[in-house]
Amino acid sequence: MRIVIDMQGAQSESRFRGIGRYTLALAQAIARQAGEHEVWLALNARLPESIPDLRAAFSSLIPLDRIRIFDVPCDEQPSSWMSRAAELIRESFLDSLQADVILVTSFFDGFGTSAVTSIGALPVSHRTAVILYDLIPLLNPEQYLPNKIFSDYYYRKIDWIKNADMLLAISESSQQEGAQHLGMSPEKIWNISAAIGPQFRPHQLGTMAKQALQHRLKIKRKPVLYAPGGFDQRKNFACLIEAYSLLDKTLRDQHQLVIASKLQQPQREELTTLAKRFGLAPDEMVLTGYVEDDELIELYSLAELFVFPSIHEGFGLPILEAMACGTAVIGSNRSSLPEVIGNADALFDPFSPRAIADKMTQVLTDTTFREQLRMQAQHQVQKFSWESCAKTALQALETLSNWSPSSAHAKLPVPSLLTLLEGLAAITDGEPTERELCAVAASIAFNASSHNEKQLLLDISSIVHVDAKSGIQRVVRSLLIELLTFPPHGLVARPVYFDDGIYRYANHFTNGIIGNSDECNDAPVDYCQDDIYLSLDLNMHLAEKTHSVLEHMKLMGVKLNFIVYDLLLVQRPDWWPASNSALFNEWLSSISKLGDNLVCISNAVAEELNEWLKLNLPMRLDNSPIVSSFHLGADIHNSLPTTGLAADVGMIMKGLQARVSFLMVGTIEPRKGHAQVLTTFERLWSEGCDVNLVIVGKRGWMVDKLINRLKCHPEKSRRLFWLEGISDEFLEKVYAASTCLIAASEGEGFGLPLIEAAQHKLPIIARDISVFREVASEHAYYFSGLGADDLEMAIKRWLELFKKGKVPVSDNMPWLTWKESAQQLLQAIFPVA
Amino acid sequence: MKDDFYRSFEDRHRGSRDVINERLNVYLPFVDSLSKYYPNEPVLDLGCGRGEWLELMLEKCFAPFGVDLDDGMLDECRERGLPAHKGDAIAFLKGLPNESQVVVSAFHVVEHITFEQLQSVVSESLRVLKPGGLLIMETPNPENISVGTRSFYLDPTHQRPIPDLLLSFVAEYYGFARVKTLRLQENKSLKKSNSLSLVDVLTGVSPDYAVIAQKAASDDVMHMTSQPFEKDYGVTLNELAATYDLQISKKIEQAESVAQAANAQLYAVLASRSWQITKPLRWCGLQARRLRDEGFVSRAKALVKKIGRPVVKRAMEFVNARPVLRKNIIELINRLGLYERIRRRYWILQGKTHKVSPLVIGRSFVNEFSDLSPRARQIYADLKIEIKKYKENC
Repeated sequence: MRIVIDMQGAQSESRFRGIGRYTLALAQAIARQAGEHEVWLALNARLPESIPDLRAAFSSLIPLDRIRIFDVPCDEQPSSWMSRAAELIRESFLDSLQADVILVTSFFDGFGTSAVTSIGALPVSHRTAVILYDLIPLLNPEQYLPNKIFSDYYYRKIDWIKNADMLLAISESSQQEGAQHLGMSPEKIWNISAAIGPQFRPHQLGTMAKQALQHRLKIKRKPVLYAPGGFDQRKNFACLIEAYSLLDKTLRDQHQLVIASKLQQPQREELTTLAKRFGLAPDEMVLTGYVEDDELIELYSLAELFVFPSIHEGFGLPILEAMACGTAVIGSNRSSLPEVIGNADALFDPFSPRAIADKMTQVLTDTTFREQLRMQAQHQVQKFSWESCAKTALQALETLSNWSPSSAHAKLPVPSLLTLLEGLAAITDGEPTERELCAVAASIAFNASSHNEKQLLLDISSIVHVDAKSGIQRVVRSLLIELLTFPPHGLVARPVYFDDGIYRYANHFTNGIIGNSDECNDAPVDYCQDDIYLSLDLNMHLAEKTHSVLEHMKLMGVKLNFIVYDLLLVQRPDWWPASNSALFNEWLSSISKLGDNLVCISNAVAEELNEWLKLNLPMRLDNSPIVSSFHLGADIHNSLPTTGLAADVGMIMKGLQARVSFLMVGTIEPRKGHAQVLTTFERLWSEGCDVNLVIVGKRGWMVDKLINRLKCHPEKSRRLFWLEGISDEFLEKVYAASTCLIAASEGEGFGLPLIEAAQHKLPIIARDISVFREVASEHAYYFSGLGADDLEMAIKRWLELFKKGKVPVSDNMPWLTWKESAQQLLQAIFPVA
Repeated sequence: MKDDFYRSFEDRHRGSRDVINERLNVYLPFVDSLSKYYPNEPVLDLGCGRGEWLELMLEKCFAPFGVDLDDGMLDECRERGLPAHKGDAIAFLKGLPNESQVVVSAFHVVEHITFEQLQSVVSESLRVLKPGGLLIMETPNPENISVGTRSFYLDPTHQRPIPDLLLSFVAEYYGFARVKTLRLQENKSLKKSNSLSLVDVLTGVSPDYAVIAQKAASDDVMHMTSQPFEKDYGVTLNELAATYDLQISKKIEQAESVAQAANAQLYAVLASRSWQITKPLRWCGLQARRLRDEGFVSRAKALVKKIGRPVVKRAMEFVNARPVLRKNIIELINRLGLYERIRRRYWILQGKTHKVSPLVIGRSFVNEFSDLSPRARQIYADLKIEIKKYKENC
């Protein structure tokens, strides 16, 4: 049997109150006891604050993809058309989950919020059960339904709830209420009861703790406690205060009436006036205001007596809490309270102050009776547990769906959207505006995830705007082409980019590189639960803006993945112009908070990222990001090589071939180690070592000094060659004419020049940094140290080995194609597949 | 209409006889294969005009016959000895026996008649055609924006433009076995052009099109006559627009890479030594200019701010590091009634402005159609249809 629990009860305002706690505890218990049943949750996207909490609360109980999110159209003040539409859209969504039964946890709650409930607004194939807390407003309309808008809302809900296939009442008394006032046959209403958390248990207060509590709450004598959990007429404060005033003077001198409840100022005044009227001295009644759970538990333990004079309850959780904490409890003999207290001796008539006073006197004066009450309570509370609530609820739902152990879950076809659209067209409550139609369409599109192919959203925000065809952009382009041509099974690859607050499909851009598709408008992106987002680009300049959008996508169930190229901007911000490192840090902190997978381009970067995460632990409720790595491709022929040769190419080639030539490839920027290499060669030359140094690379940033040295060097064009901005075709020739590659960079994310050199069978001298070890392993000759001595020694040694033909060769260095690279990337994101 | 008007109009706008003869050549491959099966059998041309098609059909060994309402046009047919008859095309069609014609053609006729008449032409043609016979209907192509918005209406006897999808649908609907749309008369060089202009997009789509519909016949005949049906003819609006877009985005890409290179150069200049050395000089110049433009008072204020801000910031850091002091100062400020004002200043200095929580924004930005994603747009359209249907049923 597939059970879908509509969790709105734990999402709306009520999530901090009784209904929210009840919903969460019951749903967790059902999930724990589900056995062979499937438990799914449905969450309202318009109440997003609760979503991370709920995901965390169920992460160890059910697979996370069974937590489904639905959107409903909403407005500040929704028109009736919009409200009806929202009801239909929610029912249609629940139907699409192909459940046997839907369990609605909170039916009446959520007035003025985006919570939506209805039953039978649409023909559906599941049964619906609803938890019935109470029908207090229905029974006391003049008091609880004074306002037309609210009463319309409530009666509409009453009409809907009559369509329920079953009600799960939280007590016998509300079970009877349901049968009497909703006209439903008794066998359709089950009592599943209620329970409290394990934190409510007898608590031995030490002297210090006791004094601290008394001081905090301004309690001076032994408390007679009432913790009603709310403030309204039925809580019966007047009778209680009057009853307290009827107690003997001696008893009143030893005790205080303590009322623990959240109180607004007028309510506080009302109670003070009552106390005055019945002749209570100011220090005889203490109003604590709202107290947190742990304080409440201490207060229960401190109390001499717990009185609960309420006239009407659905269940009466505070009674059970007090009993579980070992307090002597007496209470009203109305509604659900007798069944919770389970002891006729502890009951009184709540309308008679005299009766209340007598019962209080009995408990406060007769220690044997008080002990009996407490003993009996310890026994009584055993009857209530979430496990048994969940068991009964499961039995009820099994009955409802005619489930038997042999009946498998028959998969129904996904219902067509047409039923929903027809339903919407037939709404007679007013006419929709254009805006409302758009909002409705947007919600339906989001909810229809089961109708749609899952998307792999490839974020290429930077390259869409500028493609300089170098570095990261080359990687983005190559991976993009691979993923578009061979998307992972079951996913459609869609390039997207961030634009003015939203993500759009990069149709224009994509058409430019892989030819025409049907769409040429860059429409806003559709994202649905279960879609996969993968940021190919490094969009650090956008992080500030994308964060909230991505955060919302994550809330809605989109998995977020990011490629991390390196952490150099964190490690060595001095290698770049100043503003970059702030941008990068913002980006890094954003992805560490949001990412499901952070995939680094080498294991070395992955290790650095793990270190960084240890120091900058992101605050998040779900698991921290999974850090993994893949390697980049190196089949450069597939990434659009440039052509063209300079006029003096012949001269240069002759110069290179004349001697042993050491080659450096890469932009001239501080981290690449050009300065050290140049100084080293100056020394070699002065010592008569006749070798060439060839530097291929554009001028970067913060290298003015070095550039001047290069430009005015006496060896320039003799034994020192600087080839700036040459084509790939030219570079091929240079590789062919060179003897050895020097990779002197102090920091890299990967190390493509090493692979390029290996492809040209060129031996390599590399700085001993972990990423070069990872890429080249034993296929390179390593050096370390930042001084010219260090490198000079290394080159001399290498030359000796070279003469003997014993330098490490790079011929067998392993490297990947872009296809293999993309495969590795996908494996990191989908570990199972 | 005056007798000669149409003939003059045709001469001016449809083209001279020779030009028209050439334009008709595109149909010959379709007709040729049929002449083997039906030599010397009748073909009918509705609205035969000056008789160019009749002439061509004679050459192809068919027995052509033309019908037209315009005497001026028919005169020319008679001058050339072509068999033509004055009369209403539909009435004439209706009088013909079943399966009597090999080809029924209607060049630039359907835009002159009502939709009901068009339906009759198509259904009657199907009746009178022999198995495998062809119905040819040529008409202006409203997909060409210049044709659809302007030149179509130059002819006062035109009723309404007929989109190709409608015309081909009518033929399919009445039961023709094979229906082909040919876009015609476009400038052939456009297809390969590397420099499309916007004018090309607006005017370059094939200005005419024809629907050729073939009546069902034995597999053998259908197979033998299938070849010309398999080719593509002409240029669509989507093709031109997409090519145009691609060219523009390439140009933009080039411009961007130039801009980027310029940016890099600018960066190099800014970082260069000479630029650094001349910095004080430039600063003095700037200050002089601003003093002239903004006046003494405003510059003096700016100076105070420039000096004051770091001092205040330093002081803030000092205070922030000492919680007790901070608390006392806040209390003092509170008592002075300056708290709100100073707090705002403080946040501005700290660079913190209040941002709306993303959770509040959520997805509520959907206000109009253009905010919708493709799936939502589809659903929106479907929903509108359902609402319309529902209203009609009520």
